Amino acid sequence: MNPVAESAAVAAGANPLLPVHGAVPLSWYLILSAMLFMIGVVGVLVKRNPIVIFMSIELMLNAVNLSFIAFGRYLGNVGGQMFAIFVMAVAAAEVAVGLGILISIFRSRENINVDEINVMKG
Amino acid sequence: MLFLLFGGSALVTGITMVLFPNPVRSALFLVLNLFCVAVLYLLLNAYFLATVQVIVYAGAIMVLFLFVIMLLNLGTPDRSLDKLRWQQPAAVGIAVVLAALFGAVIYQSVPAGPPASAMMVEAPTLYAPRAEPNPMLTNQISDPNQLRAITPDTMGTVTGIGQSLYNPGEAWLFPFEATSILLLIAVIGSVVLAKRRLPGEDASAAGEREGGTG
Amino acid sequence: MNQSVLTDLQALICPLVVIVLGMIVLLLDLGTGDGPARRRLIYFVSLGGLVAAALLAVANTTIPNAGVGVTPLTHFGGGMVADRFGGLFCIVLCIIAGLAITMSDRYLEEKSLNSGEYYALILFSTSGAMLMALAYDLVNIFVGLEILSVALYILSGFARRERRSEESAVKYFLLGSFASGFLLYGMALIYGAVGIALKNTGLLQPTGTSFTNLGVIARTIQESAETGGAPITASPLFIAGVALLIVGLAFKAAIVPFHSYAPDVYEGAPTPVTAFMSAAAKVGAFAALIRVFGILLPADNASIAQAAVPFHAVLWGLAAATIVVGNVLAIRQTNIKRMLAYSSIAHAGYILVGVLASSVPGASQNAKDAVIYYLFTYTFMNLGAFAMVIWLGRDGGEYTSIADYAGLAKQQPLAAAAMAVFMLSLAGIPPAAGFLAKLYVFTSAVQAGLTGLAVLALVVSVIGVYYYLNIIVAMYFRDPVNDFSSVRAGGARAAALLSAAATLLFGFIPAGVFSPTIQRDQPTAQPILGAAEKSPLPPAVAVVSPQP
Repeated sequence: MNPVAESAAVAAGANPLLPVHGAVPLSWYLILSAMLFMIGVVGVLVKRNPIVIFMSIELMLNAVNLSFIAFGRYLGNVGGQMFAIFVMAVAAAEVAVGLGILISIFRSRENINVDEINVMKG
Repeated sequence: MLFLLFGGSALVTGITMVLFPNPVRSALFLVLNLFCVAVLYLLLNAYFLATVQVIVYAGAIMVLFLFVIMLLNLGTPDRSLDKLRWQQPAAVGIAVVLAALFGAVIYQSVPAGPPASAMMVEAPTLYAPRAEPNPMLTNQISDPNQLRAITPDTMGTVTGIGQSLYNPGEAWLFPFEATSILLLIAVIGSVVLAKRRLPGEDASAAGEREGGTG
Repeated sequence: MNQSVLTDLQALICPLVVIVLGMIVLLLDLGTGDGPARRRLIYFVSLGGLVAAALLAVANTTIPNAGVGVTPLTHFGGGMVADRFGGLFCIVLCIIAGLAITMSDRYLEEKSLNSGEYYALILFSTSGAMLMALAYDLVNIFVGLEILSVALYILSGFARRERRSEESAVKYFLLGSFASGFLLYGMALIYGAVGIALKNTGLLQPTGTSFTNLGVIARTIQESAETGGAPITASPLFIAGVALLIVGLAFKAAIVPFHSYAPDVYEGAPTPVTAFMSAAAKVGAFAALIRVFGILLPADNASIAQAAVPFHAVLWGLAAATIVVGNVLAIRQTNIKRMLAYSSIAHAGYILVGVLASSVPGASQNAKDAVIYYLFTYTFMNLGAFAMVIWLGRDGGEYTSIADYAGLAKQQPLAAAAMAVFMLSLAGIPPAAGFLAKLYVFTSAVQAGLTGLAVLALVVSVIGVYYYLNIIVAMYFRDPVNDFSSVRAGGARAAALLSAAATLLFGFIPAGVFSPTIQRDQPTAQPILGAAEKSPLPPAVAVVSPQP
């Protein structure tokens, strides 16, 4: 047996350190994920600092990943983890671009409040 | 038990992240939150993703966040929350209702009990002694279908992820390649947006602008 | 196996050419000397490449559409599909990118923006929208959407020296990624619902099966209905997932109530970028919407169709709200870019009517063709209108107020005539293509049994005629306030005149670009057309509505 499979086998349920993981129902993970997602939504709606808003969006994406991985685990399907990988890659790209945009706008002005980003009205 | 511990702390750190007015503290609580979720990934046998979560999310992305907060000197508390007193309960109320709705939806449609029975049936193949040499080790892989079969328990390892991600017969290779374009765009974007002076912009104009905007 | 990879690449040739073109443009930007020669080289290389990509996409238009009951030829592990529908969308996107690049040349020079990165980003963004149109797996829709949007975030903040451009980028970015979060959560719920349904039917799938593959989803829906139990489309998890997916895509298409970002972003972004995103983002989002609706909410099986009813009602409401809000708010705008933004919201509503019709089996093919026809004409008239704004600007600025265009006809008769063509077409007045596009969409809506919505859309679009004619009145019947003797012209003039010509051509040659299908699938369209062309717009209702 190759080392990778062996370590995986040890970690995968035979491991006495993690005796309860199979007992947690899927719905607990999903409800936790829904709550994290909603915390993220509240953060986006309530906060006024764009960087914190952006962090709340990261929290939302993170909650989505948890859902994907929990589903994938309980359905015995690799697709959930694959999707989570793409979400992470996309989040990394968004962070790079988003922080670039925020740097370019805040270098030239003092205020950091989305309510004051309002040259345009209508 | 571990689920309750880390799931609970994930919730608490998430809530504190939103409640703290100081962006630096918010960022640090988000890091904690990401760690807790990484542990949950471990509990779900997603080893590779747990690692990536710690290294990429907590390690790289959040450092970038903190770096930008410090660079732009945004560490001052977000006083504007005071102005929005009436909005807060509304947002929290809506969110609680939505969360309850989602909880109900999930509770109703997700099979209860430990649903890992399918895995329990398949799991023994893992422990059965392997008679044939593993093709992964013999360097003679000509057809991806001959690779060691991935079981639900091993699919979260680096091997499992790799075999699915780079298998041309499965759906994941193409989006993986497409993501590279996204990263290229991100590189171009951060160069374009964060560059101090644009080429083609003559020095005097740039000087005026920088003088003008302070 | 090598053979299959080659076929896969061949099927996706159009987006691949556009991606490679973007990389070539980046390299040219680095590798060639400075100055106007480089700008011109990059400009023509991009345009030439886009023409080639559009021609290559024509090959795909002969492949039958994927849909319920049709097993499509998929590529790359089932994740992508190259059919007629996707091919036509690729052609539309090539035209959009081509016009946007054509109208950018002088604009970029005057604002001293770097052209290499700009053109490359437009090309990459276009390829993202193409991937959305060709995707047959939710994961590819997601990645395509992000390629499209991340490039657009950067482009809308490209004019870094302008506060408006920066603000537009921040707004678009924050709201866009917020919407992506909802879209993703919807995909996660659909993934789970499909997986659970497959598990319940006892069909254990290999670990590598993609539960987000549209083919797998379609099969699961069928099987879950046939095995007697409640179909998966009735599962709350699935319904919540589809609802969140609609939120995410509706944001990209700027459908009310997810439209609030559009006017600000459109006003603040550099004008050629506004032109590009008002068309490309919509085309990508609508391509994905049509593809996803056809699969997730099929109406060909009674027990499944039952579950789709609430969604049809919601979409009905969204389409109606979009048309009304877009048209009503456009009336009080004084800034031409904002006016066009609201007008594009209204047009998204008309297109949504067609999308809704496309999910009804009997009218599906007609409605899809009508939507694509609408998108073709929308591309020309909308990009043309923005090209006018660039054409008539100078010294790095534009005339953005509608009142600025007073008396244009006396100084620049050609420009005024082109602008008049676009406004008439946007308003849907007969000689221009916009009329036929609306007629096709509304006809297909009536065929699909959406008579009420079609009538509402027609009535509201008549209200909308007011603000389009306002500009024509200003141009022809008011005294000039500005001097238009020296204008920017350049590529923007070429783009505007080309679009005007195309708008008129499509209007005068009724069946336009793809006459064969419209005539074959829609034998009843011809008499309606003949009758309606002789009469002004409102009586068309009377002609159309007696249809079954």
